[in-house]
Amino acid sequence: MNSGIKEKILFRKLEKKDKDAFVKAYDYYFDDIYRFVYFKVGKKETAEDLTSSVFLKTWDFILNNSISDYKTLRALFYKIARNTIIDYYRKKSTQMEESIDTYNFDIKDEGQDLETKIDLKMDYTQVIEKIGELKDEYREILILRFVNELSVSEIADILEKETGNVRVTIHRALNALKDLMK
Amino acid sequence: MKNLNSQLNNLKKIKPGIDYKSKNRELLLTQIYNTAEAKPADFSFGFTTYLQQYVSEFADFIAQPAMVVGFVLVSLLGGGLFGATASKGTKPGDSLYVAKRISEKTQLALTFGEKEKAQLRIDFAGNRVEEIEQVLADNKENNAETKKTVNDLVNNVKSEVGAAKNGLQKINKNAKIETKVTEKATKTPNNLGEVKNVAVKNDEDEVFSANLGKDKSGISTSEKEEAVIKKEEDSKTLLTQAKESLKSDDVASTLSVLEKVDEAIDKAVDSGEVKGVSEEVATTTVEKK
Repeated sequence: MNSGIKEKILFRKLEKKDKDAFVKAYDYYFDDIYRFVYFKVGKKETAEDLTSSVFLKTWDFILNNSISDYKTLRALFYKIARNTIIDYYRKKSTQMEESIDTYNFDIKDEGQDLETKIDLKMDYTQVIEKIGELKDEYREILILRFVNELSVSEIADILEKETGNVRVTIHRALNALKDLMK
Repeated sequence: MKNLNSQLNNLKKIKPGIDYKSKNRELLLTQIYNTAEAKPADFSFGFTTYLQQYVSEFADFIAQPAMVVGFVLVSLLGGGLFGATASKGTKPGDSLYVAKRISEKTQLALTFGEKEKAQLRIDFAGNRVEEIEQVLADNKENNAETKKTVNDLVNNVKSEVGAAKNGLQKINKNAKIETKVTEKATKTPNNLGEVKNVAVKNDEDEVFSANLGKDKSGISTSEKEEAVIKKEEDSKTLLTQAKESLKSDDVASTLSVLEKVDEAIDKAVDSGEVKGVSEEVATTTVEKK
């Protein structure tokens, strides 16, 4: 089934607070939300705790509110994820720009041998280190656009910005990363 | 810049740990199912959305010139678009086969309740079995393409049966939980062991044709009848049995029958035939004890 149709069907069911639909939404969005949170907070264990919290908060939100105002289910999850991270830092009372835990991540198992996995980790580590040096706004937009592959309009909806603004920020973020990678 | 984009894109392979994800899922399920009952999704909200999505997909397919002719013919025949007689007997490769599959998906999307969904899925599995028969009958040379089509259909059967089983297992599980809760609530010093059994059937109460050897009245069957009965346990017969069991709310029996379907269809396809009712009529040699 087309993923756009699948998401729309899940969204309609969740408007009616369907539990089974929420479990399917969990399976569908979990990896993306985890990755987003991981790159925002930089620590694997923190990312795990916060991601769990995101899904519980989303369910609680769905139960107690109407979600009709949200354009897509994906937008709802990302907005709650962003708010959860903001709350986390507020409680922690530290700067948002923490360094990313560069070696502490898992890679999707595609049957690679150990040596290949190590090589992949080294490749990823270089990019991740540099992403960690970017300011939060740039880091966030690069993850949404290039890692989780959201469209510009979806990103605009999540960040509550104009699409033109988002395009400019993406361009600037890429340039900033490119400069760091030199 | 292109290289940088692809490097960023590769980061998609970073994923949460499997253990963490599955434990978290269990925790979430506990939280969700402990919250207040969600209102079941009702018919009215879904129809327009589903229809819009599926008609839009089908419209793209039907816009091909050859399909337009077919579509006009169907309309003239007045068969309607979904569940039409015109598409009912179609198989992979036929022009209206897509309409048939879309119709099935729409029916499933508009059906609520695990039992009802399971019934539909059993019907769809039966449709796939019929399609396998048709494909094999039309393609006696059994080339690579035919094999692939049959393989895909077999996988569809297993997928539908698997989904039906999952749904029925949920019903079974809820019924068992309800039984346990009721058992605890009704257990008093004067009323020990009285249990209001909601919808749980004892496995030993299963009775269907293959179990004649366990008949308690002392009648045993001949080896010939056992061989014939075994032959009759083909996938189509099993699916019919499953549907009958489910109609009478016998979830445990239905699950038990569905367990056999995968093996039955594999055997049938391997032997090159997928038949419905056995051509031999069982002649029972009954020996009364």
